[in-house]
This record gives sequence, C-alpha cells and structure tokens, in this order.
Amino acid sequence: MRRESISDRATITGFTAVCALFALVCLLPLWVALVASFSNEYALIRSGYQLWINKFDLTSYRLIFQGSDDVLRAYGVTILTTVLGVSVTLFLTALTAFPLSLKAMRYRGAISFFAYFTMLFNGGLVPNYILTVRFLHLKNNLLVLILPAALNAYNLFLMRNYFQTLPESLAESAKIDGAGDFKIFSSIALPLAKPILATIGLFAAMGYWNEWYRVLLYIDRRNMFTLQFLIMKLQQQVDFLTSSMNPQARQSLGNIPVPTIGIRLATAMVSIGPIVLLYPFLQKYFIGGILIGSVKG
Amino acid sequence: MRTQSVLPTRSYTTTASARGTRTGFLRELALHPSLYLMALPGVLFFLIFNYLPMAGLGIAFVDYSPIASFFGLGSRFVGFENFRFFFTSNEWVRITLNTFYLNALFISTGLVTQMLLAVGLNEMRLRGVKRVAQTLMFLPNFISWTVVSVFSIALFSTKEGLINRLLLMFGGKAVNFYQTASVWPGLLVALRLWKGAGFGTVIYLSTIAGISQEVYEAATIDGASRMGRIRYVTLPLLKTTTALLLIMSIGGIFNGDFGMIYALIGDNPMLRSTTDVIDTYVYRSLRLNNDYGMSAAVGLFQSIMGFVFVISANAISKKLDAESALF
Repeated sequence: MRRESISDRATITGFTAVCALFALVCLLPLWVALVASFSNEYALIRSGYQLWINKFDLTSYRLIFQGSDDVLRAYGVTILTTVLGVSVTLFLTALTAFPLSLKAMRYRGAISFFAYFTMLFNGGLVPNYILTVRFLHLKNNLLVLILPAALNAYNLFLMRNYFQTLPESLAESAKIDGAGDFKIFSSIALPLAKPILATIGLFAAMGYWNEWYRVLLYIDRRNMFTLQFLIMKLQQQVDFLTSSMNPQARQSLGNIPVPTIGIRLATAMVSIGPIVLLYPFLQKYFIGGILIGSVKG
Repeated sequence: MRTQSVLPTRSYTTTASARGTRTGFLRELALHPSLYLMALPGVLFFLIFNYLPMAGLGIAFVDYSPIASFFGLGSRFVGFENFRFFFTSNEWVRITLNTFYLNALFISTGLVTQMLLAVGLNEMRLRGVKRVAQTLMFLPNFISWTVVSVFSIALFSTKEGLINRLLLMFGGKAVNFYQTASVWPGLLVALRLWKGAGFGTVIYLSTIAGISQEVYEAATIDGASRMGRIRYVTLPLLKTTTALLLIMSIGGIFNGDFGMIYALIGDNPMLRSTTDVIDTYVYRSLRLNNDYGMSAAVGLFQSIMGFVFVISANAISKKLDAESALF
C-alpha cells in the first residue's frame, strides 16, 4: 500500500475530530447533570452548572430515597410495567406472527393487510381517549400502560418475516412425530426465533421504561406514576416531591430549604441509571434490530 | 422476500381448494382451527385498539355529549361544523405550518448530520476511539425526552444554565430561553440532533460497509485522494439510501412530535407561536378545553393528510427502488 499523502492524513484527522467532538457533545449534558446532582444546591445556584462537582453533597439522593416513597414506588411501577409489557408484547407478537408465516393458512394475506392498514391510518387521540376511559374503563389502571402498546404491525411483520426464514424440514419432522401446530410453535419456532425476540423485546423494554404519555392521559393517582412521568411532574411543579416528604426528612434538613433542582436531577439520574449501565452491552442488539427493520422489504 | 415457511403446505389444502368455491370461510377455519385460534388474540387486539378508534372518528361530525355512544350516535349531528370552526380559526394555519416547518428542519438537518457522521466514523482509524465515540453518540437515543428536558434546563436556564454562564463569561448577554419563542426551532433542532443523529448513522454505516472495496481500489488507482473517494464514491452511493430515508420521513411530516415538545416546553404559552404543532393543539383542546368534537375533527384532518402522504411516499419509493419499498 502506498504511503498516505498529507491531504489524506488531514482528511482522516478532520473526520476523527468532528466525530470525537460530536461524541463529547453527546456526553456533555449527561455529565453536567450528573455532577450537578452530586453538588450542593447553594453552590449550584450561586455559581451555576459546572463541569465538576461543586461541594460534594448527597442530600438530594438521600431525600429521594428516604424522604419520600414516590421515587421508589415509581421505580416499582416502571419495573413492573416493563417486565409485564415486554412479556405480553413478545407473546402476542409471536403468537400472531407464527400462523401468518405459514402458507397453509389461506387468509394470511387478508389478516396481514388488516394489520398493515393500522400503519396507514389511525383514529387519533380523541377516539382513543374516549375508548380507553369510557368504554374499556382503564383510567387509573396499570393495564393501560401495558396493553395498548403490546402489539403493533411493524413488530408483527418483523416477526413473521423471521419465521418465514426458518427451515421447513424441522417442522416437517416434528409433524411426522405427531406434533400439532401449537407444539411446533412453542418447541420449534419460538426457540429458533430467539434473536428476533431479543431485538423486539429490547426495543419494547425501552418503550415501556420511558413511558409517560399514557400516564399523562390516563393516570392521576400518584402511586401509579412511572419514573419518567414523575420527572415530568417535577419539571412542571418543583415542589411536587416536597409535598409528600415525611416529617423526619424535613427535620433532618434543619432550616435549609429543600433542594428542588437537586431532587429533579437526582431523580433523572436514577431513572436513566439502568439504561446507561446496560446499554454498552446491548448496543449490538439494538443496531441489529435497526438493520433487520431496514432491509426487511 | 423469502417465502419458505415452517410448515409445508398441507396436501389436503390443495384438495380443498380443488373442490372449488364452495370451500368457504368456515371450511378454512375447520381445516386449520389451531392456526386461526393463534391469530385470534392479535386480530382482536387490532380490532379494539386500532379499528374501534377509527370508527370513533364519527365524533368529528357531532356536537359530542358525554352521555352519547362511542361512535357519536346520540349526539346532535352537526356535519362539518367542527371543521368549519377549526379552519376559520387563526390557529389552524399556525399549527399546520409549525408542524411542517419543524419536521422539515428535523428531517433535513438529521439526514445531513447522519451522513456526515457515518462517513466520519468510517474514516476513523483509531479503533478504540471509534468504538467509544460510537457508543457515546448512540446513547442519547435511549434517553427519554423528559430526562432531556432536565438536561436542557441545566443548559438553557437563565441564571444557572451553562450556556448563559458561557455567554456572560465571553461578554455576551444572557438569553431568557424559556420566554423567547424565536430561539426554539433552533434549540429543538439541536436537541433532536443530539438525541437522534448518532443512532441514525446505523443505516448509513451499513450501506457504506456494503460498498465493494474494488470500487475504492479503482478510484485509488485513478489517483483519487481520500477526500476524492468520499466525494466521488461514498457520497454518490449513499444517494438511494438518502432518498429512501427522506421519502419515509416525509410520509410522517404531518405528525408533530408531541413527546418531544410537551416534555421540553409543556404548556408554556409564551413559546407557542413557534412550537405549537397539531398534536399539542389537539391535546390541549381535548384536555384543557374538553372540546371533543373539534379535537376529533383536527385529528381526522391530520390522519387523512398522514394517510395521503404515507401512501404517496410508499408509491414513490417503490418506483425508486422496488427492493427497498416499505412493504
């Protein structure tokens, strides 16, 4: 290989610098918020947000975990809806997609179109709202955070296309051994579909973990709030957590006012903790998922 | 698309269809009861959560009363009165234009940045740095807008915000971001790029990875520099991908990003002139004004426009490249 010219080196250096800079910019807000959440509230207000911890202080974290039940309860609700939501999503998506992948099913085209049309047209907010509140009676019911997001046409087609790529011979031999459709689904198709289940499951988990829109619409009981919605509330109403703070926590502060900015930051940090910690290990599955979707055709 | 399936076509299916048209729906159900049973929950799901709301759009044509039935029956039929109310208000032009304008900004800046970053990542030599840069760029995609709004206060807040501190440090004047509507399209674009551009490179990166090395070698032999290879090989070969991504995003140009705008701005009326989109408007008229009929009418308007755009986008992308059409 010939030696690189100066202009080639300049090209590489230039692009490396641009990308590295963008990556640092991506990290910056996260970093600023993280160090601010460990800073003393007074110092923060006096000298603004900085790049390093300004007077190390754990008051905010102590308050959100011990001062009030809100954050821990929201954590519980978020974990519960995420786990249940992902399970229902995977089960329902796979169960519907499997028969649609079989040529033996004569109306599979019609059913696929029935699903596909939902991607083209939708009723919008108002009919959905009335349906959920007046007819399904799901207001202030955690099912409203789990069910409506459990199946969508996009995932259904990803799953169906994956089933279609599985070799026929496996099912054939199972059939000769007397296995029925359910048996073939559960003991042959599902185990072979692990990669696509993982992809759909991960994206669904992100969706459930970050859910707040449906809480905004359908939940007004504080003990059913998800983490993201709690953050939303704290943004719009700085004293939201303060109002539920227990007397001991209030006393332990002495005559210092409650650190409202710190509480907001600490809650945000706690809510993205699992994502930031797990994400580097899961990155390749997310990338795989995007690519499956784009070449699907 | 491959058409292999787990199950071979059953021999008796052929026999059944050979018997002609008498083999109707029920007969097909009886032939494969377990298959249709498996599909049933999914079909019911779409029926309840997707098709019932479509039928509920009848609300757009009535003066909705809360005791009426879901489809608007039992309320006074008012024809296109709700539409007339909306289209004669000053607001419909503003929110429609805002939705269009903001989405156009997001789409154009997004595609350019994604392409640039993908080319850049591809040129990077230091493996470790490349991997770390990629991970950091992708991460914001998984952070919800509510958390982004906590970050954006840290950056934009008038007194403590990092940006205003910097402005003051360099002798500038502090900007009251949360009361200045004109800066928000720019801020939303920046936040959007921050959140999505990194992860958006994935598709471009895979297209670049698919470009044959021979093309590059040929270009090198012809004396192309690295920059030349990017200009005359990589970028032209990204054209189809870009066109497809563009068309697909244009299909959604009528959908305002409620999640982003509501999380970042909330109900702040001072920023409405530049940030109020169809979706935030519908939410407000439903939840704050309880105006069911008009909200449903605006929703129907949006759904129909969205439908037209998606269908056209799909038709165009099919023409462009039969392989990569949406479906």
